[in-house]
Amino acid sequence: MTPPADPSAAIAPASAPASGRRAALAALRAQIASLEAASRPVGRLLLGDEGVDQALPGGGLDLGALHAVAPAAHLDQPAAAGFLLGLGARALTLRPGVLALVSAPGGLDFGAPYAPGLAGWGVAGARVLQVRARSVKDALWAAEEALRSAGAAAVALTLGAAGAAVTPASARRLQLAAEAGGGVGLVLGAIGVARSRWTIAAAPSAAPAWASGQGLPAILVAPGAARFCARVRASDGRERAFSLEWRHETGGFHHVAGLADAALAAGPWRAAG
Amino acid sequence: MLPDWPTQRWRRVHGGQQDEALPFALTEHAASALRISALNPAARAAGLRPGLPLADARALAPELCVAERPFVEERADLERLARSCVRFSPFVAPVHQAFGAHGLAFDVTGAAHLFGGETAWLEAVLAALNKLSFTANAAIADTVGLAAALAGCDRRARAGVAAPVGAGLAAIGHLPVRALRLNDEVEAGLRAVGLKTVADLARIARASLARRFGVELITRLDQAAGLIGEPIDPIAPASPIFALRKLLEPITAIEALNQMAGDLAAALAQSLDAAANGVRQARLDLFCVDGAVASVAVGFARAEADPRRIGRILKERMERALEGVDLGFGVEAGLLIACALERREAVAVDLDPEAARRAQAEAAQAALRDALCARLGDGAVMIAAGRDSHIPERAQTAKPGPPVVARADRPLFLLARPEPIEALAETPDGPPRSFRWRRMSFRVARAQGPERIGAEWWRASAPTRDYFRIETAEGRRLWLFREGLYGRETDRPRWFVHGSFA
Repeated sequence: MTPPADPSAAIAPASAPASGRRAALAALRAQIASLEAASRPVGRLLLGDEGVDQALPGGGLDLGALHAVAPAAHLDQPAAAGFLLGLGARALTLRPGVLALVSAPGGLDFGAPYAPGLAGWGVAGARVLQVRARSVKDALWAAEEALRSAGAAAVALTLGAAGAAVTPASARRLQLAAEAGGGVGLVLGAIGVARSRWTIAAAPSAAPAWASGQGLPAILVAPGAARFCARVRASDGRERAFSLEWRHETGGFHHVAGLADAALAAGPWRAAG
Repeated sequence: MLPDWPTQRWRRVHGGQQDEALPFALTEHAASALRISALNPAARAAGLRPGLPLADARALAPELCVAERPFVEERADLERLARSCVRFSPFVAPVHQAFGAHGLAFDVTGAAHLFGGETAWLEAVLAALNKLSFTANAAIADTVGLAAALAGCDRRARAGVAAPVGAGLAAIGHLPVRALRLNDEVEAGLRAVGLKTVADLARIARASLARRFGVELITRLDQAAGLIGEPIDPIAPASPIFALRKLLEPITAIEALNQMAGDLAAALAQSLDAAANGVRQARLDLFCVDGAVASVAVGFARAEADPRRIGRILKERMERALEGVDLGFGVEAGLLIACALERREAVAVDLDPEAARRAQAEAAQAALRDALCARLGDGAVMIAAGRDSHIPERAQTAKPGPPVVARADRPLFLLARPEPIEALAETPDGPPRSFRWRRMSFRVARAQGPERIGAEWWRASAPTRDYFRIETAEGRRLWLFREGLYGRETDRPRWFVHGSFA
């Protein structure tokens, strides 16, 4: 009987079969990847920040696939939807066509998409096709139709709480439609087959450099560019977390290190002082 | 003019079982009795008149045959007759029961000479109508009023009469006053004072006529003389492009109807292709066995000539339109008419791959929009356009318009109606420090504002709104406004949430 206190005795016999198993798994993964690659359109949806994109498997989000975005808390739904629209705006730069915004009833609790705001966010009004479905069934049908069409560069489906009612079969249909169309499917809410799953929470925006140290009450300082705490479980199963900021001037996400204060500390104003 | 249109139409539709020599009348319910509404010459010869109660008529002519007058069918058939007369002039309109007379109004300008002159034209029209066993009187004159008077009351009109050009009222001077299409009351009044013919009227001063008999008489005189225009409203010419399927057996199953819609679309696309046209709007009429017609209208985002796409949209629309509709014993025929045609843009293969991709995406986008609209309804699908308004909820519209103006200070999501909140502010005109919304409390960390938006003065007055962009301590960004200016418009301003930023 080997005493459990001896670590080498416990690990050594197990290590040989483990490496064999690992090799087998790797071979299987490669086989699956080669099978999938045949049907997968080339190209990636980039978030716009090199560091973040490199951290994702494959160097970005897959085209011709579904990506799910869920709010961390109910009140984070506008932030999650805004993140979704940011991804949609990125997808619009990849190919011609519209961003089909399909909303299921009750999908958005905090208001309907507002064109001037969307345009300000970087999604021009003429390139957003808003579809208001009267039932989840109709919404899934419309999203599938749009995903198959070459006229839609991206499809954003806001399911909200209704996402729980989506059967695996209809989720699979969406996935197949996305593969056929080659566009990006973005789903607000949980869905079974997503290639990457994002959980988004709103984060306080950065204070402008001039505002700190002036003794101004914070309430008189305008909110800055929208920031998100994004956690993503990508196709390799690993979870990553980023602190992202959407910059509508560049139309991309930027990785911000740490908290707003830390960013401020590194700012030129503080460095000079 | 077709003096015996109601009875002759009845004979034609219901077969010739009754003899023309026998009195025959159509009845209607009027003034709490079944009364004679229209009659044939034999009945008229027997002394019957329209408006006579049926009981009295039977007493006068015991052998009288009667039927209830089908006004709706009469109207539809007169329109069909007008449609069949398009060959005499494209400007033809049915005249329904204008003061007891039915008829067809033509504008023969530029058409008569094709038949060899006005007399020949009249002969051709009369021959065509008589061949359909309708008694017809025809006249050509400068105005609709003159022509109607001649055709209605001149004995020569049976063989066609053409008034000389520029004759004016003199052409109908010899006719009785009822030729002017007057109502019974005015006509009786004129008779009572001994004004029997149009020539008699022409001798009286207009002012006294108007005072005594009303403006209508003057209007009719002026219409006949051509002083007032009287337009003909021509029936829309039927589209030359259509597809028709008659079925051996009536069908009710949606699968069978879908099959028929696909066949019709294919047939329509074939005739479209020959004409190098595309269809923008089409109508599918389903003729049921019991005489009802179910119509389905479809529209396309661009000129469409692909049978599969037309068929697909048609099926979607039809399924939606027929939800809950009882087709009775089934559909026995389907007619697909292209209502609006448009020349298809020639498809040039673009050598620039980027431009080709863009063109392809545009075509696919139009097809996608059609498909979505067909199933979800036109109102459910929109591409927003901008509108020139400061009021946030009025700054976007679903109708086509100028592009939306991008505003970074506008929320991504706008509530359908602002939701009231309980807010605590340090100063009456400053941003709130904290607020409660949807039973949750929020602490404001950062705020920007106010952005003052006044009501549009040309609309109903509403209080001024002061908008604030706020961020809570957790980083949630909302769009609040205070309704009413403190101290000027109200002492207790109310707070609302109007939208949310990402």
